[in-house]
Amino acid sequence: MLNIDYYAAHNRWSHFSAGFKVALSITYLLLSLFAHNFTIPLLVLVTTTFLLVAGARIPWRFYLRLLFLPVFFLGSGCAAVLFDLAGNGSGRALAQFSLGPVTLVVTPNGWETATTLFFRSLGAVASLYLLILTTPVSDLIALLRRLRVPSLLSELMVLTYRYLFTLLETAGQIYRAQDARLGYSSPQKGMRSLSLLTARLFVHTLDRGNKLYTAMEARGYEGEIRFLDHREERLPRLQEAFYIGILALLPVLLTVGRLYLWP
Amino acid sequence: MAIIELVGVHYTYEDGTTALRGVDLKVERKEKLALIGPNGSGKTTLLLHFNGILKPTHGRVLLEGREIKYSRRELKELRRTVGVVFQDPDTQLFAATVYQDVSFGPLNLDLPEDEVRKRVEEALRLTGALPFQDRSPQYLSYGQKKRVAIAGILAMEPQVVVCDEPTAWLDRDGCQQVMELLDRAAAAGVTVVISTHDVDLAYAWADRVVVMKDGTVIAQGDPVEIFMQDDLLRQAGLHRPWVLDMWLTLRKKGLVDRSATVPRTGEELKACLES
Ligand SMILES: Nc1ncnc2c1ncn2[C@@H]1O[C@H](COP(=O)(O)OP(=O)(O)OP(=O)(O)O)[C@@H](O)[C@H]1O
Ligand SMILES: [Mg+2]
Repeated sequence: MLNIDYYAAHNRWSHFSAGFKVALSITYLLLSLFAHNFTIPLLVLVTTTFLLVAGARIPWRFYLRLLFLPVFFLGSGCAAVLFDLAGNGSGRALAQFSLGPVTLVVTPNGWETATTLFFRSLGAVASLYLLILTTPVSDLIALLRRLRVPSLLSELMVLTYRYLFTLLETAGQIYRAQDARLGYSSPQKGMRSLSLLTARLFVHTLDRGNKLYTAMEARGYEGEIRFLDHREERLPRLQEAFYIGILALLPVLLTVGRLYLWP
Repeated sequence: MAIIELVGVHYTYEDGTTALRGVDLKVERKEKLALIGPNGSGKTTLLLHFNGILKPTHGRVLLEGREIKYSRRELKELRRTVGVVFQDPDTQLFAATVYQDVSFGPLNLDLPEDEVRKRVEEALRLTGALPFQDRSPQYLSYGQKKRVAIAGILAMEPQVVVCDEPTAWLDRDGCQQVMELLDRAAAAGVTVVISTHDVDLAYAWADRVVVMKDGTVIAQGDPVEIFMQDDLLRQAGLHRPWVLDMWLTLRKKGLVDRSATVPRTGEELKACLES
C-alpha cells in the first residue's frame, strides 16, 4: 500500500499529465473488459507491463508481486470454470483428472471461458495498475478538481489520504513499541497486544486528527480546503501524446485487425 | 505599543489540568523573544493563546492594545497577524504535495492567485524547500518537514511568527538552518517568538528571555541578566548557558576584561580571550 504510493510519486512517469494517464488506463481497461477471447487482454497485459517496467521504471519484482495478488484469487476462481464434471455429455475432453469417485474434465468450452475470464480480469487489473503506479494521488485529486468534481469529494479525498497514513503510521509505532517489549512473544500475548493496539489506535488517531484540525485552524481554515497546484514544467504535450499514443494504439490496431482483416 | 499582550491569563484543559496560572506578558514589535522553562511548564499552552487557538479560561489577550473577543472576524485578523509553527510538523502538514501545503494558508487569506503563487514561491525559496516542492510531505526527512511547516506560515506573511521548539529533534546543521531562517524573518521586520529548553540557544539568539515555571512567568528580561541569577536558574530547573558559565569562570580568574560586553556565542567568547 505504502509502496504503491511511494512509486506513484517517484517514477519516470510521475510528472506526466494525469489526464493522459487516466485516459490511457481507461482505454486499456475497456479493451480488456470487452474482449471476446484472451488475445487482446493478453496484449494489454504485455503492453502495460512493458510501459510500467520499461517506461515508468517500476521495479519489476515489485510489479510482479502486485500482479501476483489477483493471480491467486483469479486462479482459484477460474479453476471452477475450467473444470467440469465428467459425464455431463459436454463432448470431447482436453484433459481428465480423477479424484477418487469424481472425474474432472476440461472441455474446449471450459478452457476458452476460463482463459478469457482469467486474462480479461488480469488485463483490467494491469490497466488500473498502470494508472495507480504512475500517478501521485495529489495529481489525481487535482485532476478531479479541474473536472469540477464537487469540492466536498476532493477535500474528503485529501483528508482520507492524509489520515490513511496517520493510521498506518500510528499502528506501526504502537506495534513496534509492543513488539520491542515482547508483546508478541506468544500467541496469547499477541492476542492481548493486538486488542490493546486496536483500542489505542482509535484514541491516537482521533487525537492526531484533532491536532491536525487545530493546525489547520491556525492557518485560517474556515471550512473550505483550498490548494494551489504547482504548475510544473511538463514534457511538451505533443511529445508526450506521441510517446504514449503510439503504444496505446497498439491494441486498438490489433482489435481492428482482428475484426476486419483476419477475422 | 506591544503587538501582543496577555493579561492575567489562566488556562485549564478539559481534563482539569491547569496549565497557566495568571500569565502577564508583552510581546514587543520586532523583538526576538525566547520562552524557556522545563517540560510541562506551560510554554506550548501559552503559545497557543497567541493566535486564538486556545481561549483563556480567565484573563485577556490584546492585539495591538485591543482586547480580542474571539469573534470570527477577530480570530481571522489575529491569525493573519500571528502565525504559529507547531512543534511536530506531522500535525501541521496534510496536503498531498509540499507546494499545495504551503499554498493552504495564503489561500485562506482570500488573496488573488498570482499573489498566492508569489508568496508560496518566495517562502519555499527562503526555507530552501524548493527542491522538494512537488514531493509528498510524507516522504520528507524530519528537518525538511520542519522547513516546509515554517514555509507554510511565512507564506501568510504574519507580523509575528511563533515557533514551538523550533530545534527539537534536529541535528546541528538542521538547528542552525532553522535558526538562520528565523533570523532572516526577524531581519525583515517580523517579530519572532520561540519556545525552547535549550538555554544555550535562547541565550545566544534572543533579545529577551521569558522564564516559565508551573504555568507562571517567574522572570523576564535581558538574557545576560536572567542567566546571571543563580537562584532563578535553580528555581526554574535550568542550567547556565555554557558560554556565560565559562566567561564567568574566566572573569573570576581575571583572564577576561571585566568591562567588556558579555559574550553570547562561542565565537564571541573566543574573541574575548584573544583580545
Ligand atoms: N491537551 C491537553 N490536555 C490536558 N492537559 C494538557 C494538554 N496539553 C498539555 N497539558 C498539560 O498542561 C501542562 C502544560 O503543558 P505544555 O504542553 O504547555 O508544557 P510545555 O512547557 O510546552 O512542555 P514541553 O517542554 O514538554 O513541551 C502540562 O501539565 C500538561 O500535562
Ligand atoms: Mg511544549
